[in-house]
Amino acid sequence: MTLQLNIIDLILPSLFGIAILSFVALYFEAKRLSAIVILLFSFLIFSSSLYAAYIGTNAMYLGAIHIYPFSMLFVAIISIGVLLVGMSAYDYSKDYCAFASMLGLSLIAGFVVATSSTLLSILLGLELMAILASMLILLEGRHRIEAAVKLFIMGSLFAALFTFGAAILLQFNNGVSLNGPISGTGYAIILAMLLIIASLGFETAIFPFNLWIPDVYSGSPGFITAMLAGINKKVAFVGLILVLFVSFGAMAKTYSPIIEALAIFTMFYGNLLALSQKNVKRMLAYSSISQAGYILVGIAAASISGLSAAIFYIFAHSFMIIGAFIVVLVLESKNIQKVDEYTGLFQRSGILGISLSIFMLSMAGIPPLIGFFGKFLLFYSAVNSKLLFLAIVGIVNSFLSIYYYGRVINAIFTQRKQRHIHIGVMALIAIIVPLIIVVAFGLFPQPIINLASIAAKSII
Amino acid sequence: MIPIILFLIALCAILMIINALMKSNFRLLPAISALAGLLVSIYAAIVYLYSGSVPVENFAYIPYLNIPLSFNLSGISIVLLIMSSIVLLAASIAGNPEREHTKLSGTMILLFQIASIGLFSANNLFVFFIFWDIGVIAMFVMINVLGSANRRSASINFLVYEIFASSMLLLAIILLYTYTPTHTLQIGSIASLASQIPPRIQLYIFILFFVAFMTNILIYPMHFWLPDAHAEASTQGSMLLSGILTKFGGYGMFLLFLMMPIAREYAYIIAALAIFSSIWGALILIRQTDIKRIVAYSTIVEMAIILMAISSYSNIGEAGAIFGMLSHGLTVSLMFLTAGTIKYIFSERNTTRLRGILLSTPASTYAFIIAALSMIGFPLTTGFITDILIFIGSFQAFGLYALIPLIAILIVGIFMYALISKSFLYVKESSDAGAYIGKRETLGYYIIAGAIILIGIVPLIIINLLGL
Repeated sequence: MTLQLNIIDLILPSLFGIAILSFVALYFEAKRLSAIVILLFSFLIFSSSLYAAYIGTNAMYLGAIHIYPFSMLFVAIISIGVLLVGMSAYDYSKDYCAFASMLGLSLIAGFVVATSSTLLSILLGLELMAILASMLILLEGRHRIEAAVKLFIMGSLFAALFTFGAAILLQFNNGVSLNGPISGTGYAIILAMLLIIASLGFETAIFPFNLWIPDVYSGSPGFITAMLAGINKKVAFVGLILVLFVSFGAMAKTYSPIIEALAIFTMFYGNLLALSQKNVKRMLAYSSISQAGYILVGIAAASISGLSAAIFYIFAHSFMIIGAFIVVLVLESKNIQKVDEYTGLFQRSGILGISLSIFMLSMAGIPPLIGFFGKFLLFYSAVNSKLLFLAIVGIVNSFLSIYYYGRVINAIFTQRKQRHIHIGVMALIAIIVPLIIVVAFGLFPQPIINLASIAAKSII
Repeated sequence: MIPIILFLIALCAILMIINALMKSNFRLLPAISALAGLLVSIYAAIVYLYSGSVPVENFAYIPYLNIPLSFNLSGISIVLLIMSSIVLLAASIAGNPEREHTKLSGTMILLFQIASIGLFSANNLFVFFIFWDIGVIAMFVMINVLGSANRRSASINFLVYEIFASSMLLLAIILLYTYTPTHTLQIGSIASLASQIPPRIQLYIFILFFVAFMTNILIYPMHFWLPDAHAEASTQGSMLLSGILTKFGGYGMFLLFLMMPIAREYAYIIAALAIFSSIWGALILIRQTDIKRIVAYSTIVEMAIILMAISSYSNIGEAGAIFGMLSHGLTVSLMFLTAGTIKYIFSERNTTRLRGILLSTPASTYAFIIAALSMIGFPLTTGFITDILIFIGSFQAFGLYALIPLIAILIVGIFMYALISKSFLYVKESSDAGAYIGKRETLGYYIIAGAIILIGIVPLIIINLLGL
């Protein structure tokens, strides 16, 4: 018991520390202090939550914060994402102090969603996150007003849908609390489920609700895009998993076909549109839509193996996409944006060229990188749940994706004499850490698979 | 006993990292590791011949999925390892007369060596698949960075075909894993469990595997990536591509027939496809004027004949197929080595403009003649043993139809005769030689040509390894 209290005693003050100290730093415009605060506390949260997930702590704290392996694993993923994004933005952000404080607040939002014990705290956390994202885009983005307004209005609309869904569920036993499956039948529950899937589909970039993604992703600087794709989206996936596997846990037969159809459309939509993109960032935005489709494959399987595959892939994808967007960030600061302009990148900067190629190969599912094991687990779980067609669509899509990734890799390794590109130290570390994770856990995926299956078992 | 395969892979990986991180490049590293590979595979051959088996190496890899990192050296694996080590040795010593990008090509050769060692000795389909894709990526970078003018489109073409193949392979492996009763991917145990899979799923698995391996073994509708990739790759790239990567597909087909009993029911269709493919390749071959494309199309002919031998599923035929892979790997890489060197010397690949090669570079001429003789099955070369074994085995299984590919060999032989007499030995006029080759290229010729003749004269060791 003392040990469990120790961990939460470490995490909660760190969260408060991030919130308060980053605002202090913002007030005094102390850039270095902001960086130290965000990096130090997110590292603290990362290590303690990873430890908690590993030893399998299970406790309810303050009656609202549910500490168990699933939540702790996701807090770890989110906090390391915050760490990496915070590092990468240091040299490239116009107003780092403001960015850092917003980033700290979104870590808190992620913590609220991951440890939530009711639907309402999921809604709270996601809404906080969406507002922070639109504020960030307003601060730093290029076509910022349009993107921010789009994000804000859509976010409010989908929050309203979530609220409506939760209101319908209120009448049932276990309705809005995440204590166990909702007991009750009828069309009202299915309607509520559809509303909640739609509202979470907004942030997770599921097909018909993701039309804002390409504009917002390509309209904001790389570190914000990395944050949106690597952190916000993963937090929304936490919400989706919690709702589907806990609240609607008894209705797997109902939601599985819905998620299956959404997964198929999402994968095809992302991949087919990515094929025709000339701007690398837009291409990555579309590809991250299709990656969300792969994660849905595991959710549609509605089994422990499917859920652990989805968690594994969320872990993998957050590193791949954060790394890739940080590389894009470094390059766009040198005004390199189009696929043609990536020509000769390997000669201009070996580390950028190699790391972007490895992230892309990993997203395309080439062994022995971490993305491959994620896809193997996902498609295996789909076949295991008799969703052979879904697995075939997934594999066809991962074949399609090699075409546009291959084009970029092709350009990277083409020779052309140009000036060398200089990278800031912080950004370099923020690229190398995901690179090491992608390669090392690609070679030895067992620890992550273990963690993911512990987390999956703790929720079902 | 030391786990020799893991040791060898670790050695290659360490050398690769050293090669990639070093500022100045040390060109002998790939040759050292290839030599180590050759010595280890000869050692394994001796152990195998004396004790009948080499210890299986098992390491825990993904216990969650019950997948170990498992290596097993059968006689067949040892033969293929010997072949790939010789080809890698020659390629890393002699394959780069231009001395361009030696660091990157050395790194990629080492990566490719890891892939070939792991794939030929894999005892688990999952491990097989991982090494398959490592090989594909290494090859892609080699074509993309080191090739000639049109390499970009050729390498993308190659990558798309290969990833298509590996997607099919992945789906087949997932199906196999899900539907085998004990959830295993061990190659040895699948053979006995495959009959318990529902027949429809067995058919799916078989088709997926077949399409995947067909892409690498170069059977008719899936070979379109090959001529471009070969023609545009660097000399080393073509040697490894044709000498080793096509054998990935051949070895995969061999495993397919070993694992899935259903494959034997379709042996006639496969053999018919192979026979058609060989004739088709030969007919395309005679219209080519680019020396690298000529060798590339001859690969299609030879690999189709090997596939026919595999599908015969008789002892002699299977042994002939493996011996054929050994022979073809050596032969074709010698041909590509000479073709690449000739391209370096004359800056010309068009055979209608190449004349009097004998005058400028006799060594290349003799090496090409030895390779051509081995390709058409001349006695005292490995090709002779191959053709005897393959056609006896296939004749037993398919009757007179099995002899149709002899026509293809005949066409290739006539074409090679014309090519050699016109371009190599005709000395009344000669093309301008822009450069001269050094000792290293000649050493490369000696290594492969020596292996072809040595194994052709004394095939007993290999035959014993194949268990005939």
